[in-house]
Amino acid sequence: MCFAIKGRVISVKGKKAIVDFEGIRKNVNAEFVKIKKGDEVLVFNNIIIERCV
Amino acid sequence: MNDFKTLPIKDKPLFLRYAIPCGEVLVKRGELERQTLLSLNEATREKLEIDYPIEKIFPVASKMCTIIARQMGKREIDAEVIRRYFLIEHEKAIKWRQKVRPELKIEECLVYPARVLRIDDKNIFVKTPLGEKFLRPDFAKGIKVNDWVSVHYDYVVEKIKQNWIKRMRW
Repeated sequence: MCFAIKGRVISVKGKKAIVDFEGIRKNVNAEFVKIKKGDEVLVFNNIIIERCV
Repeated sequence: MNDFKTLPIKDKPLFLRYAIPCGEVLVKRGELERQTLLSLNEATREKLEIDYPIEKIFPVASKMCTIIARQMGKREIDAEVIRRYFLIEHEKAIKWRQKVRPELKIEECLVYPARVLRIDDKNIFVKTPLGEKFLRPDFAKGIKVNDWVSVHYDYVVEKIKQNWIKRMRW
């Protein structure tokens, strides 16, 4: 099932971001969605595909 | 939601063959009406007009296909993009997700190749890298014994060629 995982943006640097998934932090691709620190985002395959508002 | 624009799906029947098998999970999660899933299945099976916003029903797969299409310089999600996502990139995505959420089971989510061993009215019996199993024949019209097919959940998705099987990590 292709469902994404929700996380919170810890920091953004260029097209990369660090996202926290309830304690697990991952360096992810942030080139497809405009985001900023603190945003809740949906991530799949290390790519932010949506910002939750 | 703040979205990037999803590209149009050119080959909707093929996209749905790969996406419908996990529709039951969407129904259980309350994200899809069972009747809609049944209608999508029928439309795909019977080659009817597909008049559903499938990009909204399967948003993650649509977005991942959009990213692949863009990387390939395409402006729509065609059969090559769909196969590249579901046969190759999908497995990486599912395994990435398991690293973040180890409690999620992944075996059923995976798409893998299988060899058809036997066909009857209700089932197709196949040999897969995960063992022998019975599959639903919904999308298996024209499939013959010894054909190589792709499998998602308990569905035969489509007959696949050797060049795709070689690119799959099974």
